[in-house]
Order: sequence, then structure tokens, then C-alpha cells
Amino acid sequence: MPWQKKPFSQHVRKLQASITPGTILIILPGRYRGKRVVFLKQLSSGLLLKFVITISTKIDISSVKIPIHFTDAYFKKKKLPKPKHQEGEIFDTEKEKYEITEQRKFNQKAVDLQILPKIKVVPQLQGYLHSVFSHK
Amino acid sequence: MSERLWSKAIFVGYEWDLWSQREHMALLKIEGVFAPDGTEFCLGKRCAYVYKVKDNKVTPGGKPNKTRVIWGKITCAHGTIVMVHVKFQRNLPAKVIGLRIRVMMYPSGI
Repeated sequence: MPWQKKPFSQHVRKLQASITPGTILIILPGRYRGKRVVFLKQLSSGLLLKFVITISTKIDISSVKIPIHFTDAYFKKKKLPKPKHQEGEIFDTEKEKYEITEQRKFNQKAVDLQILPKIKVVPQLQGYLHSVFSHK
Repeated sequence: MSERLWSKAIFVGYEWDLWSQREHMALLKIEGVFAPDGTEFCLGKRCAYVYKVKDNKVTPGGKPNKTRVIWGKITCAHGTIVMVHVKFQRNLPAKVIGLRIRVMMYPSGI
């Protein structure tokens, strides 16, 4: 029945009509606030959609192939296992640090190589994407 | 160049009925909002009262520091003077009246 409450994972994520692949967005909260980014695709969780400002500038990325395994699970923050203390080693166990996996670096480069030429085509867009948005 | 991504607002006071004050809702006057379509843009946006305290506290995404926040949300417009009702997660302390509240630009609908 449509009026029964669905769990969050089954909610329909609506995307604003103004956001299409290739749109430039400004990220509002978080570590990257004020940064201008290119929208690639919508993930099934609908993450971030309400936390960006859309700009009317778009670049054509119809020919850009985005790896299929870019899903929410790929981007989820990895919880590092806490070191288990064993006998006699209480002060020796080291904390695991977050390391960027080779797969991530490879994927990042693969996408960048496709998108950077598209950005360079538009005059001044590269500098614009470099700059940060702020109120003043 | 500053990196401000929030609008400036002032905590004007609490919500009133005819004779008494209701502290669970706050009234905010947002800088730059002079007309009703300005308040329409602001509805649903998050607000924050940011303050500093003596003790350090854990900050998400950073080292523990002395800054603390009370988060709130703009619920509806208030009257023709173009102010705005805000519901904070905890009621604002009265000594903040006349002081700065930040109005964030998210959740954004543009």
C-alpha cells in the first residue's frame, strides 16, 4: 500500500531537474565546503543531493564512462579494526592508519583522465573549478 | 577573502503569544532578507548557534576543540517584518538575544 511507511532504504530519491550529469555544483557542508565540482551520477542512496547548490553551467560528459562499481558501498567510510591487545603486547600494537588503496587511485585517475579534457575545452572553467565559493 | 558559507542572522527573541513567551521557538532576523520571497528561500534551512566554552569537546571531523553548536531549523516565516521562526534542538539561552546565529545554505533546493 503506497501510504504505508517504507524504511529509508526503500525511499524514492528524487533528483532536482536542474541536476544532470555534467552540471557544476557547489558543495555546502563538510570538509569540502565551497568547492565547485562536476556532477557525475546519482547514487542509489541519494547522498548529498540536498546539500549542494546547482550552477547553470554544464559540461558535456555523455561520452565519459564512469566505473560501474562507483556505488554507495564503494564510498562508505571504512571502519578500521581496533588492535586487539594480546599478552605482553599492550603498548606495542600499532593503530591501523587509513591508507588509500591502489584500486581507488586507479579509479580516480581513470575518471580524471576522461573529465579533464572536457573541462579544458570550456574557457576559464578550470580556474573556476579551482576557486572556492563564499558569501563575501 | 573570508570563506563564509552561511548567512548572518540575529536572535531577536523567543516566540510570544499575547501575554507570555514560548522559549521552544526562536525568532530570527536574517541579514539581507527584506521581502517575503526571501523568507521562502530560507524555509527549512539549518541554523546554528555557535559558541565557545572553556572545556574541549570532541568535534566530528576534527580535533577536540572549545567550539560548540546548537543546531536548529527554520520552520516558518513571521509576520510582515520578515523575520523567521526557528526551532532549535535545545532551547537557546536568553543571554544570546541580540547575538549572531548562522543560517546555513543547506538543505538547498536550487
